[in-house]
Amino acid sequence: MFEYKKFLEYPVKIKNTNPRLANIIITQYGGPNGELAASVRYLSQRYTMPDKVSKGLLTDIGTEELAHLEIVGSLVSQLSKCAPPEEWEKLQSWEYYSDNGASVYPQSAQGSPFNAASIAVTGDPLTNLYEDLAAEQKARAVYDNILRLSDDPDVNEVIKFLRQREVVHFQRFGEALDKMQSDLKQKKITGTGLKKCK
Amino acid sequence: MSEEALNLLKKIQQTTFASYDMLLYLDTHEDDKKAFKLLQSLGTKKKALIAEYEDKFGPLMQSAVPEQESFNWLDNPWPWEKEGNK
Ligand SMILES: [Fe+2]
Repeated sequence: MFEYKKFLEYPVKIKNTNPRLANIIITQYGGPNGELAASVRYLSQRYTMPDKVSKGLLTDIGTEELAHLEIVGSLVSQLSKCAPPEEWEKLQSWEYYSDNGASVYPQSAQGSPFNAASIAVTGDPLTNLYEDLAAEQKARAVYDNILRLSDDPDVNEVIKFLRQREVVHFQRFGEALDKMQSDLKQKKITGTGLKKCK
Repeated sequence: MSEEALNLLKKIQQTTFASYDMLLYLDTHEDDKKAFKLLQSLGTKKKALIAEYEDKFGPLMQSAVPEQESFNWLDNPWPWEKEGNK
């Protein structure tokens, strides 16, 4: 089960509102490469993992991604909080405002609501880990895109932290993959999920 | 939140993060005794900092709510609010 901690993994304190930037960063809340997708992907993949390293790692990284979801939500919230309609219009973000006001809604930067089609859970342990490695790279690339679009130092400090975590997660998933491949070779585990359970 | 509370919270965030990073490292290096020692010392430090904070300023964990003198879990600010961060 989960227990809530009443603090963020990394502090978020944004001085200036900027609804336009909020509408870009929201993509890491509910977009295809975002933190919600990451968390649901990892926590859902756990159930068919054959080895303790992958079971543990998916649990722990899946949990950290929930903390990242909260950080991104805080960014979006603080960037748009109390911004009057005129500011949304000036920054050309009225589409978001019309449905969601100044709240945090899981959608991509292009406006598609969160869709689980952006994650894969195949039941095949190796395929899952390859998916996870790709997912971490995609999330890292999106944070790089955001860094190119944002010139707010308060925001960028937080985005850089999140970006760095994707690099660490990629590293750990790579180690879990190496371990799984050597376990498979030594027949310590049967990996494909195609075998009948006893 | 007072300056003192914010400073203590920042230390808690740092130690919590360092511990979590060590946990992920140990997930793929389970025999690394030195890393586990480091995690243990971070854990002790974190526990003391959280206890100090909860004693002075209110609960950070849901499980600490019953240890408070009154029900103060709802006290502002919440983590996503600017006022709760430094
Ligand atoms: Fe990640």
